Amino acid sequence: MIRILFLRFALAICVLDVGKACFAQSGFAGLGDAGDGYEKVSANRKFSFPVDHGAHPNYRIEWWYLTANLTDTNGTPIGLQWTLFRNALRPPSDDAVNTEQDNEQFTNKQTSAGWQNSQFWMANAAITTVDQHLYKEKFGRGGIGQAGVTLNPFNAWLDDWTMVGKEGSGLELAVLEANGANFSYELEIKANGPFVPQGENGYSIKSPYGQASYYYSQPFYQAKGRLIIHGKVHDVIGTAWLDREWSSQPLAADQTGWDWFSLNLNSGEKLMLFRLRTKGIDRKSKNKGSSGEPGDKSALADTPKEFTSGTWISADGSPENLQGRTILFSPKTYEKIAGRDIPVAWRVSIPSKGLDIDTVPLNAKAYMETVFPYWEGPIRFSGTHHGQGYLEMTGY
Amino acid sequence: MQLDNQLLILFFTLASHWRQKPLQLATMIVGLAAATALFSGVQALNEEARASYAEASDILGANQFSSIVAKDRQTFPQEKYIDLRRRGLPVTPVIHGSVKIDGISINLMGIDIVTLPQSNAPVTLMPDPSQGSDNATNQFDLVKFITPPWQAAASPVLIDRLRISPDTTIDAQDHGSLPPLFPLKTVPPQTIILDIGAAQSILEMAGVVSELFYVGDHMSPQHRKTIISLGFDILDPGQENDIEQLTSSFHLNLAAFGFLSFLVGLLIVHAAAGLAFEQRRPIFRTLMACGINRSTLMFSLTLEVMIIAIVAGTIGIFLGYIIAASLLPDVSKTLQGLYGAVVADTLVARPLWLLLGLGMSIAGAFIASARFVFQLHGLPILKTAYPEAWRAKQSQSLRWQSIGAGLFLILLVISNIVGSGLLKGFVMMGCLLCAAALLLPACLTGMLALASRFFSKTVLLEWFFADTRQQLSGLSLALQALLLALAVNIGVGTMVGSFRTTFTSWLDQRLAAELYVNPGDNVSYREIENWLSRKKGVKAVLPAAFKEARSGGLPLSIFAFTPNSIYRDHWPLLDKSPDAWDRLKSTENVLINEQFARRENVWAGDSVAVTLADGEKTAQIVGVYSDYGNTKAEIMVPLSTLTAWYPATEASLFVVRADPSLVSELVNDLKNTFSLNDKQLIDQQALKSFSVAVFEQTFLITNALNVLTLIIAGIALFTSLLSLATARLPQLAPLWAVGVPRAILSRFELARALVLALMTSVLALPLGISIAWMLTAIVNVEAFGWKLPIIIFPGDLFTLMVLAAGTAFASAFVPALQLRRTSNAQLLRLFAQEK
Repeated sequence: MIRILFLRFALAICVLDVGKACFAQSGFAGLGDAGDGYEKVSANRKFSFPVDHGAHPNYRIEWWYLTANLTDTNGTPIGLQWTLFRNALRPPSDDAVNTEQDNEQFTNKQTSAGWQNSQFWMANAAITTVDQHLYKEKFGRGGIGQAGVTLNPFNAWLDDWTMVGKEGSGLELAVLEANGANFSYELEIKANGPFVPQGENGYSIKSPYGQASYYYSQPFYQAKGRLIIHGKVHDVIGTAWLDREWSSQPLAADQTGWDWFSLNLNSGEKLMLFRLRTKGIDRKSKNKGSSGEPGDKSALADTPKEFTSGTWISADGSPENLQGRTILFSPKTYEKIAGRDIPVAWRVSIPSKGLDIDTVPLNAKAYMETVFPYWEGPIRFSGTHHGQGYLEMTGY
Repeated sequence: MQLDNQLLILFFTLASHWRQKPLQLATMIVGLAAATALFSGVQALNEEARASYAEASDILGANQFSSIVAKDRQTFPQEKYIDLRRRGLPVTPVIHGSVKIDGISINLMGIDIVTLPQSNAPVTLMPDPSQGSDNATNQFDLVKFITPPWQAAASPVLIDRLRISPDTTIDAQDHGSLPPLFPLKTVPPQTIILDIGAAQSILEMAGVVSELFYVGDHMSPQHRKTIISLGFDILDPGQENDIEQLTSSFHLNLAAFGFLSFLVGLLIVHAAAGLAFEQRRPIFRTLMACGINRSTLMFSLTLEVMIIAIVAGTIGIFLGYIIAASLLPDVSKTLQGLYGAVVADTLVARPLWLLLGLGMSIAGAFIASARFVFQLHGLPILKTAYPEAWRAKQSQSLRWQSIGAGLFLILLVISNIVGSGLLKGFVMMGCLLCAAALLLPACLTGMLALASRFFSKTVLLEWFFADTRQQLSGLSLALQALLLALAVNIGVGTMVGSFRTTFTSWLDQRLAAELYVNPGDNVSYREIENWLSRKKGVKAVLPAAFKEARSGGLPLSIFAFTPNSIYRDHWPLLDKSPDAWDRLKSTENVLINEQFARRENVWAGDSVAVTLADGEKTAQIVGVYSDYGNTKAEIMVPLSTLTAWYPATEASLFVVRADPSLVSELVNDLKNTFSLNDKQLIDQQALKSFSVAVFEQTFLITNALNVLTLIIAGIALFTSLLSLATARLPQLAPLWAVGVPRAILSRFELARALVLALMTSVLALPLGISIAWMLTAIVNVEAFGWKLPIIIFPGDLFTLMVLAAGTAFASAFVPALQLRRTSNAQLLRLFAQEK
C-alpha cells in the first residue's frame, strides 16, 4: 500500500543510436585517427603466448577475428564469422586500471572498475551460404563483466557469445558460440599448426608513413561443429582462421578502406594479402600497387593510391613477408548492395610467387549492414592455385 | 472613395455611443476578455500537459518495453543484470533516483546507452538543432556521455530554468555535483538522463540497478522463465499506468470549467451588446432615415464587434496566459503527485493556442451580438424606438425554454442508460446544467408568484413582485450564469470536501501502524526482524509481502499481511461477510479492494480466480476494502495464505507497531544500523502528511477556477442590472411621480437583486448536490474505480449563499446608486418624451 501511495513516477527512457557514435570515435571509421595518449606500436616486439591472446587495453583498438570455411554433411559450403572488437574510448593515462603486464589483473580490475571503465566492446557474428547471409552485432561495456577477455583458460565474450579455450591449451583448442535471429552455432576449433606472425615478426606495416599494428594469425585450425539456420541443423567440418591484431593507429589518416584476403591453398600453404586504399583512388580501376617501405620518401612523393602487403605461409607455418613485392589486385565483378558498388570477384597476382588467381564469392550478397557496414564472406579461387578462403572489404 | 468615407463617418457615428458610455464598453470588453482568458488559460494548461505527455510517451519505457524488477521493487545488484546478459537476454539496466537542485527535485535516470536498441530508435540522443548553439561543448558526445566526468541530457526547459550554461557542473544540494547538461527536447521536463555509471556515483548507489528493460522484440517463454527463475517480476508494457487515460478526467474537468466560464462570459457580452443596441436604436432610425442602407449599417456594426472582439480577445489571451502560467506549477505538481505524470511547469506560448483564443473571442462576440445585428434587418424605419420590444418577446420564449429543458432531461436519462465511461458522466452533467438553466426563469416566476401571495401586504410590495417578475426576462441570462456558477461550485466543493473527509479518515485507518520498513535486497529480513523485536517500545513486528498475479487476464497485486488487531480494528471494509477477519484464516478466503470489486462486479460472498505463476487459485471474497489512490486491482490475504499458495514467498515489508513517541528515534537507529534510506523507512506521520499534501494540491486548481467562475457570474449580473437600470427608468418614473421617494425605489432595486440571487442560490443547492453526486458516483468511479460517499457541508453551502447574495448586492449597488442620483429633471423628461 505504501508503494501505491507513492505512485510511481513516469519513467522515460531514451532509445539511442549508439554504436555508430561509439565506433565513430575510433572504430573502423576512425582507425586513421591519431592515437595520442595510447601505447604506440613498434618493431621488434616479440609475441608471448598465451599472454598476447589476451587484451592489450593500453592500445586503442584490438580484435579477435575468426572466419571459417565449412561444409555440412551434404557437402553444402557454409562460411562462418565470429569477431570481437575492443575499443578504448580514452587513453590509458586517463584510465588508471589498465596494465598490460598482467592481463589477469587487468581483467579483474576491469570488472571492479564498474561502469567507469573506458573499454567499449563490439561483436559481430555471421553465417553465409550460397543464398543466405545471416548476421548480428552486439555492443557492451567493459568493467562490469558484460564483455571482456580473460586467460587461463582463455575466455573472450560479449553477453552469451563466447570463445572459450580448453583449460591449459591457450588457444590451440577452443569452442565458439554465437547466435542471431535465425541462426546459432557452436564450433570447436583445433590448431594443427603454429601461430604465425604477420608482417615483420608480427609488426605489420599499414602505410608508407609508418602506421602499423601487431598482427598474428592462426590459419591452421580444423573446425567442426553444429549450425542451426532457420531451425535446420547442419553438422559441419572445415577450416578456420583466427586473426589477432591490435594497434593505436593502424591506418594513415587518408586511408579509407581495405580489401583483405585470407586464402587456404589446396597445397596446404596459406596466404594473407591486403590492399589499403587511399582517398582519391578509383575504386573501379585496376591499380598498380605501390608498397613503400616505411619512411620511404620516394613513396611519399609518388603519392600512392594504395598500399599492399601480405604473408606467404608455408604448410609448416613458416611466414614469408611479402612487403615490398608487387601484388596486383583487379576487381572483376561488381555487385550493387545497399546502394554501393562492391567488387566481389577479383583477379589477384603476385608475379614473384607465380600466383595468378581469380576469386569468386560463395554469396555475392555477403554484406554486413551493421553500424559500420562492410562486406565479409567466403570465397573460392582458381588459376595457378586453387583453394578457398575469406574476403573482407571495408570503406566502399 | 465616397463609400469609404460614408462607412467611416457611419462607423464613427456609431462608435460615439461608446464615448458616452465608457462603462458599457468596459463591460463588454471585460466580459469578452474574461471569457477568453479563462477559456484560453485552461486551454493552455491542457495543451502544455498534453505536449508533455506526448513527449514523454515517445520515450516512455512503460509503453514500449517490459520492465524486469525485483520482487520487493527495490534495487538489486548489477551482477544480476550481467547474469541475464550472459544468458543472452536482451535487457538494459536503468537506475532511478532524485536530487535537489536549487530546491527543485529532479529525477535522475541512469541508462546504459550501449545496450539500448539501435534499430527503430524513436529518439536519438543528438543535439537539439533548435538550440542553435555553436559551442562545441554543448553538443552530445558519446564518449563524454559514458565516461567520467560525463555529460547528461535534460530538457531545454529545465536547463533554462536552472539557468545553467553548458559545460559547467551543477551543484546538487544533497549529492555533490552533476555532470554538465546538454539540451535534449525529448527528455521529460523534470528529469535528467545520464549514464548509469554517473547516476550510480551521484546517487551513491554503486553496483545496483533499479530495473531492467527487456528490449527484444518479443519475450520468448524461455526468457520469461529464466527471468522469473532468477527471482524477478516482469511488468509487461501497459501494465503500468497509462498516463493519458489516468489524467483524462482531470483535463476534461479543466476543459469543462474553461468552457463554462466562456459561456458565462458570453452572457455578459450578450447583455452588454443588447444594451448598446437598445440605446442606439434612435441613432439607427435616424441614420436609416438619412438614407444609409441597412446592409451598410449592419456591416458597420459587424466591424465594430470585430474590433471590440480583437481588442478584448488580445487582452483575454494575455490574461489567460497569466492565469495559466500562475496555475501551471500547481497543475504540474498535482499531476505529478497524483498520477506521476511529468509536466513542464513553465508555460510555452504556442501559436495555435493564440489563434484559437482570438478565434474564440471573435466567434463568441459574434454569437453574443449576432441577434442584435440581424434585428436591424427587420427594424421599421419610422417606428418609435421601443426598448422593451425584444424583452417582451422573451416572455414567449419561456415556453420554448421549458421544452428545451425537457429535451435535455430526456437526453440525460438516455445517456445514463446507454452511455459509458467518463464522457457519460460529463454529458450527464452538461445536460443537467443546461436543463436547470433553461428551467430557471420558469422556476423563479413560480417562486415569485408564490412569494407575492404571502408577502404582498402593501401595494408597493405587490408592485415590487410584479415588477420583479417582469424584470426576470431581462435578468434571466445573468441569473442563469449565477445558477451555473453556484451549482458547479456546490458540486465541486461537496465532492472535494467529501473526498477530503473520507480520504483523511481512510488514511487514519489504513496507516494505523506507526512505522513501515521496506528493507530491500541488501539487508537480511531476519536480522531486521530480530533487531526490531528486541527494541524497546516496539509492540509488534508484522511482516508483509507483495506479489504480482493476474485475474481474468488483467494484472492484480496481492498484499499479504500478518494478522493482527491493527487490521481487524482499523482496516476500512465497504462490504463484508460475517466474521470476515476470522474467515481469512482459511486459505480459501480473501479480501479484495473496491477497484477490483467494481471492475469485476464481485462482492462479499462471490468468488475470484487468481492466476499465479504456477497455477490458478479460486478463492471466496469475504470483504471489500476501500483503496483510494490505487489504480490497480488488489487482493489481500494473510501471509500464511500466500505462502500456502506460493511457497517461495518472502516478506518484503515490515509493519511495525511502536510507541509513537519513540518512532523518530527508531527510524534513526534503523538508518544507522542497517544503512536504510528515507524511502525504505516510512513513518506514518510523514506518509500521512505527504498524502494529504498531494491531495490538497489536486484541488487547488479546481478551487481557483471555481472562484474565477463565480467572479465572472458576478460581472454578468452586474452588467445585466446596469443595462436594465437605464431601460427601467420609464417604469420607475410613474412611481416617483406618485410620491415614492427615490431612496425607497433604489432600495427596492437592491432588494430585487438580493431576492433573485437568493432564490437562484436556493435552486442551485439541489442542482449542486446532484452535480456532486454525478462527480462522486459516476465520474469518479469511471476515472478511478472507487466511489465516494457524499458528505454535505451546510456551513460551506451557507457561505456560498452569502457569497451569492453579496455578489448580487455588489452588482446592484451601482445601478441603485445611479437611480438614487437621478435628477428630477431626468425623470420628468421621461414623461415629456412620452415613453
